[in-house]
Amino acid sequence: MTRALRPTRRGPRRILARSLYALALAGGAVFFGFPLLWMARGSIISQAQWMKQPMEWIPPAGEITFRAFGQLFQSPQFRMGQVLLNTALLAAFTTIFNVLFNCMAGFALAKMKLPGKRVILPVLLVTMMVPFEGMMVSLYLTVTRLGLADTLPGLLLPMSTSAFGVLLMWKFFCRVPDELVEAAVVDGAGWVSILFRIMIPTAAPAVATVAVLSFLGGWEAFLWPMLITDPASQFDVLQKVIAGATIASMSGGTEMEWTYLMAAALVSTVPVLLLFLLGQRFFITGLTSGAVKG
Amino acid sequence: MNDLRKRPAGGRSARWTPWVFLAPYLALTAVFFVYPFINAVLLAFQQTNGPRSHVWVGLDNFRFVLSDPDFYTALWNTTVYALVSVFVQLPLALGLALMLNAGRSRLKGFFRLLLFSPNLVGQIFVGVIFSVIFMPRYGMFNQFLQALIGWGLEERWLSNPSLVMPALIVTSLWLYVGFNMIYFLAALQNVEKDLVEAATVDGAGPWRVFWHVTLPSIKPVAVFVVVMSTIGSYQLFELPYALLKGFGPKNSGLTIVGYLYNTAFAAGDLGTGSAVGWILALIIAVISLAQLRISHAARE
Repeated sequence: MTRALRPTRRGPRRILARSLYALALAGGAVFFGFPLLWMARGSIISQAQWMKQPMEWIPPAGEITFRAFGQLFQSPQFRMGQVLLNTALLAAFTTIFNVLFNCMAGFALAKMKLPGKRVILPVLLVTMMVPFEGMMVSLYLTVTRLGLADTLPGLLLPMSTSAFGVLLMWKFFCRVPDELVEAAVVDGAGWVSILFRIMIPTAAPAVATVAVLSFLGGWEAFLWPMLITDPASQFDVLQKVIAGATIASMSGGTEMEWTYLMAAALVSTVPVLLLFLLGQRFFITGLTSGAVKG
Repeated sequence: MNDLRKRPAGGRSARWTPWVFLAPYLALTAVFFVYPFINAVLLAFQQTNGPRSHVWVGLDNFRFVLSDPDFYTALWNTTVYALVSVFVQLPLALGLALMLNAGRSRLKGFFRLLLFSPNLVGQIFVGVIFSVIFMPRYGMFNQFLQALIGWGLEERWLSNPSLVMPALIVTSLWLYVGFNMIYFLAALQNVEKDLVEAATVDGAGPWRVFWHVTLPSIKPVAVFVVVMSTIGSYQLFELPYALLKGFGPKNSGLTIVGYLYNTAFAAGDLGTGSAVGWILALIIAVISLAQLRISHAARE
């Protein structure tokens, strides 16, 4: 591919192609970069600076304020400290449970003698094909009837496994050579240590996929928390609080300062961005290995 | 899938061992999928008054939905959005991936980070940020238009019904182009360079190389991405909900899931909400099966 798109001829055609290439990339950088800069800018300026006409793209140093961040953590509307902690816990537990449970199930299906295997596959496929939105009304009723509405288990448990994850682990575990497992058995290893010492390290890209997808799912959860937790619940997560605050400002309850929203967006993005930077390869492999090699 | 006849050391009869490993998945699926699933089937044929009173109404819920003009508004909006996702957003993602694949690896790394970062922001925040960006007079987009072509400062993108969809599409491009580009980039790295070189040596131009070498080799990933983004489009809810702080003027940003949410939770009609859920599941199943069928046919 490399050669095919890179113009090889010399002269004006090549210069034209090069400039078009640079122009397109520059356009992409502006389109994708500016909203992020706008968010960062919005979080450190005052409301008066927001309203200023004509707009100053780069606010003067004297106008920069970090008041919005303090407000987020102090105001009872945002309770950012607690909400961030909730979101982090939800993301962490969603990731741990998904990785653990999906690996365990995939392992049993791939490497153990199991008479009921034929029944489980159709269940997995149906679970994968029915969209969450199609079932959310009934799931809401179920969780409410179990008395788990507005509780941590009610929030977390429905997000704790995924059929996609089980199928992916199953597929990857099947490729681990049986000889490896048999050798471990001869050495006296039990199933648990086979899972953790052989299977999971060998299928690392698939584990990464499950981890990354469930982490993002937990960190950015919105619809399920909105349905199953009370308004102003002690289990509120980031996206729910922000959506609630914006909608409330729309219906005329309180005057919302935009700078708070931008600051909240920044507070939500920076931790995941740091994680992404630390483990970019892990993230990318995680997202794509299921599709590309599957 | 070779079963192991041998059991791990200890040799105790462990017929139940696989079930122990499957237990968390099976238990959670039974409680939070199978039971609600069966219930959802039944619920779609019932009318609910409060959580405990259910009356059988046959197909009435479906009849109601299929004669409700709001449902067709939602279906139309969602379909337009899905078509744009597949025919505008994905080609853009592929085009960017091709450009970056031909460029230096540093450039690739920078753009991969830049284009993926919207996904780290989260749908609700993306909606909120763009609701500010599209704001008349103070918004970045309007300021930009004013500076560039001297028009558009006061344009009300989010309160004009015919401008809501374009604004939503621009927002979704920002959010999803990078996500899909990552899949295309990963697929392009697996295209065999020898094949491309051979075709180029044989005198094939960039277009012919793309159509006859590159596209066929990335086809499995392309099919995956098309199916996933169609399914994702039909599940659209959070983005317009946050962008428009509701469903927009004249329901111009109402999606099927938004309609479901309105019926089931805002209006409290859980039976009809369930019926909408099944209609949505059916639409998604039909479209994804059709796409898979078409891609299979194209292979032969």
